[in-house]
Amino acid sequence: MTNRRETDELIERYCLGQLTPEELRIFEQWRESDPEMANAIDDHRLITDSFRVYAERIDLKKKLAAIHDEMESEQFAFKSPLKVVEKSDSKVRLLWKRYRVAAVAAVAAIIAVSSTILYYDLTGGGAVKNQNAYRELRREVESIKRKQKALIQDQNTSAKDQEQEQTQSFTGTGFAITSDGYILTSYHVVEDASSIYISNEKLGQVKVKTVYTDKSLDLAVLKVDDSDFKGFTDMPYSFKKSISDPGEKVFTLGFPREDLVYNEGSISSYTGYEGDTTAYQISIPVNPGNSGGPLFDGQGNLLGIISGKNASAEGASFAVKSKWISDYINKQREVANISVPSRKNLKGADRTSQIKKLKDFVFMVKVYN
Amino acid sequence: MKQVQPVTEAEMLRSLQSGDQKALKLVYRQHYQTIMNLVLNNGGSLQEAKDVYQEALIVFYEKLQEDDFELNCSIKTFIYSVSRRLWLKQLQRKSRFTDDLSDTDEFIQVESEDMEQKEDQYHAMQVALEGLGEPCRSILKDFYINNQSMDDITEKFGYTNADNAKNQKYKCLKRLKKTFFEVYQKTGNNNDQQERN
Repeated sequence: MTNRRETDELIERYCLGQLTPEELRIFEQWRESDPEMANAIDDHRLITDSFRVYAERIDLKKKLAAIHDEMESEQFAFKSPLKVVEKSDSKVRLLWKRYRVAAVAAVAAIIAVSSTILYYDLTGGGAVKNQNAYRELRREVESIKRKQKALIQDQNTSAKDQEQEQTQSFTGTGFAITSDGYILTSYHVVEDASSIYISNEKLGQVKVKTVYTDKSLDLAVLKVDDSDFKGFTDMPYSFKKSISDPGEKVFTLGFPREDLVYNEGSISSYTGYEGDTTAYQISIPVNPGNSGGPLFDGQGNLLGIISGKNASAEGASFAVKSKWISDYINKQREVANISVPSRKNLKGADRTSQIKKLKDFVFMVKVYN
Repeated sequence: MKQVQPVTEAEMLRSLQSGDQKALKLVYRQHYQTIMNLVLNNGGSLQEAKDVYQEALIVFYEKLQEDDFELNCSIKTFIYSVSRRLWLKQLQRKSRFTDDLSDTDEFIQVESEDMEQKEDQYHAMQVALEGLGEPCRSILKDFYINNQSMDDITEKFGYTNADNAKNQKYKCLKRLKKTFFEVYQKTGNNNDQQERN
């Protein structure tokens, strides 16, 4: 037994080139005189080579799978036409059952924007606002991939496979808070995400990762996760530290559809839904997809982040106040080294030129579960 | 997004040979559609198209790492030809039809055994490793794949001395070899038979 082991170890050391010249001389004599030995050497070489092949393939397979996932998620995000859900979806029925009172207003809202939106996500309520009328505004996207799949699905593929292949996706809005690639959005937009991308006209599409989240404030800090990313230049806005008063004109930029949409209104109240002091009530019409969008005042100061709306009342939207956002970010600052910009480049500029500058820093946030 | 500079085939091959991730990504995106169409047009599903495509890319990539490999056609034609061969083989295995494929692209003849030797090695190794229990699998992986020394392994797995660890490794390798050669020879024979058909 020991003999065999010693022989094997000798072969191994021979293959690795670790034999001393003396050992090598004897070993080669042995190899030439004993065909068994020659075979054993070949076998050993095949085994070690197969270890290498195996390890390299595993590695390559992982890489290819990652490339494919990324490609697929981009394709299906870009191609997906926004379709109204026609089938009687359980979630929609649920809405009728559970919110019959609020439903009149909610349905009116759905009809009003039904050309672009799908339906409200009632079950995925991430924030503390568990009251019925509070609506988070992330947008659920029906994936074209799913439909394609259904069309070419082979008969021999079971319905179960089909089920597993379905990917859900949501979109919301986000905006840059630092020049080195930190992005702010709403927690409920990125909740349960397995991968997140941001995109806009200037940046194209890049992958981001979640850095911090706060469920109670409904905030999520993301960071660009791409080695080619060079940073944002000349961020034109800063956080407003003080509280704004009702009557102040405000506007938002967001992605309730594939393109950037501007909307304006005023601050209506110091408090948000049911007296929530961390938020303002604002009179900007917002739709699913607007969640996570920035709220600016006339000077281009950041006043807050759009978080949701009251589905049982017209024109009552909510935004988390900038004071709470900057407090939250300051709390993370030591760890994440987040430094918020302090420039005010937009004062006095007219609205169209303000938007031209701002639009490069507002992104569609695409979330795949 | 990022603008990728157009590169010549030769540059692309060099980048791939040096293990450039971006080049791999670019190649992947360039030819996926073609292979997807090929498989979908010939009775395959999207999943099968993806599997065939990735397998073909693995063959291509592994070929590139070989010193004596010379590409005498375009990258596209090579990947198409390998994918085509792989898919034809799968169809034959399913015995759906054994004839020809409806092609969408030009292709070259790819020698099957040329393509499959590494596949057989990979497959046999996979089966053999799966058949081993612990700590055997980890010991062998650490030594042969992660290039750890016997001293590292002695310490990691808590053997009292290096000789015990060596003895354990020897036993593990012996078991692995047994399964490996069983599987390897079997798949080898199968291939021969198929070739003769």
